[in-house]
Amino acid sequence: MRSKGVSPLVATTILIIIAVSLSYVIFNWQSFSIGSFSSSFETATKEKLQCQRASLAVFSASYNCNTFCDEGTAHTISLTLHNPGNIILNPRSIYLKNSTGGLFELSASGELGLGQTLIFQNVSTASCEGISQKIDEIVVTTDCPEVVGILPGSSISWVSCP
Amino acid sequence: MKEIQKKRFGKKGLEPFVADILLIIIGISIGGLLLSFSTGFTGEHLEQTSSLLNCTVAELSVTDVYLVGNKASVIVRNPGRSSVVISSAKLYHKSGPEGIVTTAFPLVVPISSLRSVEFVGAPICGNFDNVQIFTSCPGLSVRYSGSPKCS
Repeated sequence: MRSKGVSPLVATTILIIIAVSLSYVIFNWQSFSIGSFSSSFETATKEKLQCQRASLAVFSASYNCNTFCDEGTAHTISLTLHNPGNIILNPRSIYLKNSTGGLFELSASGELGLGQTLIFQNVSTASCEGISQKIDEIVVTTDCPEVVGILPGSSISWVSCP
Repeated sequence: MKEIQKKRFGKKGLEPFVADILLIIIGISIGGLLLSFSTGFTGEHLEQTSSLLNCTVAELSVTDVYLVGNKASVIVRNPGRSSVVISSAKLYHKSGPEGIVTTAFPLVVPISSLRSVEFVGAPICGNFDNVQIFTSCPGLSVRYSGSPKCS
């Protein structure tokens, strides 16, 4: 009983500090793991709601083979895209489906404002063997996954194509 | 009486300070063990739940089926909010054996993307029945029985 020790007040204070610190650490860890998990779901729902008001039209397309279809020659596709929807759209990719099921992906970048009509171009040096005069459909995808613009292959103007 | 007290309380033991340190070490060790167990356990379950929740916003559609000779190309699109992993595919004829898939699985279809699933041993145009695409998301599969594009 005569041995020295910390006073009950100090001991209680230390215990409270330890308990509060531990609770804070556990709270932060939990809110970080659950917060990041729920925020990704929240973002997806928000984007889906916004995209309900989105729309994309492909007015026309031309493909310039630059005389040869060989690899290394610059081949240019030009698309006239129109945004008749109520949110700004960012075209992501241009897919060319040929009549035998071949699928060619070209990148698209830029922004299409409300009511705006713009010409998007992509220059590729890959061979245009499976593309030239063989396209069944052009599909343009956007940052709204449910919104695509489609143009039948019969509407493409072929320029300098063999 | 004094002798009894001596026997009962005069026993040697740990110093109170050493006992406290030991208790703290034991407490921290058990706490650490519990924390690492719960971190692994919660993390694993959170990951599983997250991938299942991603499946609730995942979608897949078949846009076209091209039949050329004995080859078939099935074009799929991901109009959902999460990447989709195609795990298998089947091509059925109205009569005769199934088509043989030549695309390697798993095939990831990123958001807003199109991919092609290829088959050989495809039916002639009039003999096409349907194509089925299965994904790693429970319950997310697509069946297309529309008209194929033949050439």
